[in-house]
Amino acid sequence: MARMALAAQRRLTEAASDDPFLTAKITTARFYADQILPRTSGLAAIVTAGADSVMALPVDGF
Amino acid sequence: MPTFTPPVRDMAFVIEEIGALDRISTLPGYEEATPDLVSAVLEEAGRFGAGVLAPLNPVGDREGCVLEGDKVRLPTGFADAYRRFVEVGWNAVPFDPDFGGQGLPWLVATAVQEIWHAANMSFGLIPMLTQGAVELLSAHGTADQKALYLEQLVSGAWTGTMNLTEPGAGSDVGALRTRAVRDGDHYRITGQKIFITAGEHDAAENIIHLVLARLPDAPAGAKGISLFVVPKFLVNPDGSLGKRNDVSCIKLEHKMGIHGSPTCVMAFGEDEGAIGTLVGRENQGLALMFTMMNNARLAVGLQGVAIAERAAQKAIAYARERVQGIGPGRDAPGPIIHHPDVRRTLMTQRALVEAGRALTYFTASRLDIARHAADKAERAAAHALADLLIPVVKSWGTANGVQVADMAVQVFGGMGFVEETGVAQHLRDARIAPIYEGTNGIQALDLIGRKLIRDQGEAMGGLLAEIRRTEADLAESGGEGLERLRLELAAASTLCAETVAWV
Repeated sequence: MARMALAAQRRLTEAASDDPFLTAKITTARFYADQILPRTSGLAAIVTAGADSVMALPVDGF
Repeated sequence: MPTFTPPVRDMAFVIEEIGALDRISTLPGYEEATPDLVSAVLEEAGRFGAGVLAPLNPVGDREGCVLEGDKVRLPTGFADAYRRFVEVGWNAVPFDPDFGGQGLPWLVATAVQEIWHAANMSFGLIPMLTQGAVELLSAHGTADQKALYLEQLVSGAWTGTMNLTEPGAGSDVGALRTRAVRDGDHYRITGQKIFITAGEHDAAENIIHLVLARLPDAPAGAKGISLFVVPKFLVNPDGSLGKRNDVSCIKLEHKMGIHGSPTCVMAFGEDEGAIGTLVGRENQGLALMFTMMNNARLAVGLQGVAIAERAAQKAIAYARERVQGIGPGRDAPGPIIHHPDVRRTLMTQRALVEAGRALTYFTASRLDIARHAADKAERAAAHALADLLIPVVKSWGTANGVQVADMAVQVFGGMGFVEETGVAQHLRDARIAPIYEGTNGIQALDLIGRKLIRDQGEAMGGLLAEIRRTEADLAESGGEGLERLRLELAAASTLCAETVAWV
């Protein structure tokens, strides 16, 4: 997303004019940063919590 | 009315900026892949997808496929559409010109295929399965097998299937029991395969089945599997069709979605045994299957992106029209797109589609480099990166497909749950993708157990280095607008590195 935003910025600069298509790439990348990327910290915590509690309930307990 | 607007400009943008088309078009054989050609191809594909395939999508969903005796009838219009598809040359796009292919890079072929899957996911499965057969025979077929089958599979005049799964052998494919016995200069195949996409249909004159089976003296499990070519009609040396082989569809599954795709139970050898020829060496079958698995898994991840794009388009169209309530800062009832919750949903769809598309096309471009770059080290690095990313493309792309289609239903409100609006079909269709071609759980095992651990995280290290470079670029040219993105990216990549180290 970052690479697309940077590419869009570059193209906007080169064209030296507005293009809603390109601006939208940047806006969407900013949304991704605010609303999607932060999921990473939750997921990382879950991964590094390990497998103990995942496997702890015995088969008969289900 | 359901309409589909192929996002050609978005695709071309990703191809050029993320797929590095300028690098790909320097690879031998790909010199014609200029931005102009790519745009022209995408426009043309878009016209076919929107004009021919998309209108058939609800038809396929409503009618489904019909088994009459041992013949399968595709939904109205599908067989005709497929013949047109083949006539125009769409099946041949990524394949070797030596066998009639158009020789375009996977980077471009992937975008073209995104259009098929978005327009009509059931239809898109036919060429997708044929692609696997082409790849296997191109890489591992004998001269005879190539002479008999390859050109017709490349053009799409004949279609291909992958026969792995059995009732007792799904994720655990090594447990399969279909038998093969030697019989003179060929083999006789006996057994039953399930979940065979396009195992039988009325769109082509022959179907070439790739079948995994076990020889009598083979070791147990995954190491004792061989791969065979079992044509529906035997093919004479002059290319004409011969005897009907002992293979038939005995049942069609009644599924949750992709109703336009015939999901078959295939019976091999109910009579004297289906005639097959060996691909590669005996007991090499699974290893051979793995050579085409990268592209197959990429294709399924792509399906996730495609179905998400299609569902998101419907959601946007609805949100623009549907008037309910007064949005913040407004003074009269207006379209629901003005409500922040709906807006957030649409933006989430958009962000997931764009990111998924970028990751998928990027990975496709690495496959092009892995196969055609002159420099051995460059090929190896691209291959390792593609290997690492493919389980992510498959599982993230398909999970997003379901999530985005689900969001689209939500945007429609009650009417989303009513089949008539067509959005529910996308969720039902999307649901298979996290399951087939290796469940997302299997992809996770592949990512950690095979891709991360085997090279001690080297390919992952390379990827993280690339991400750091992007962070540096953001710092240099991103400006204030992208500062937050830079910070989040840096935080995420650091977490990723730490998590990988923990693993």
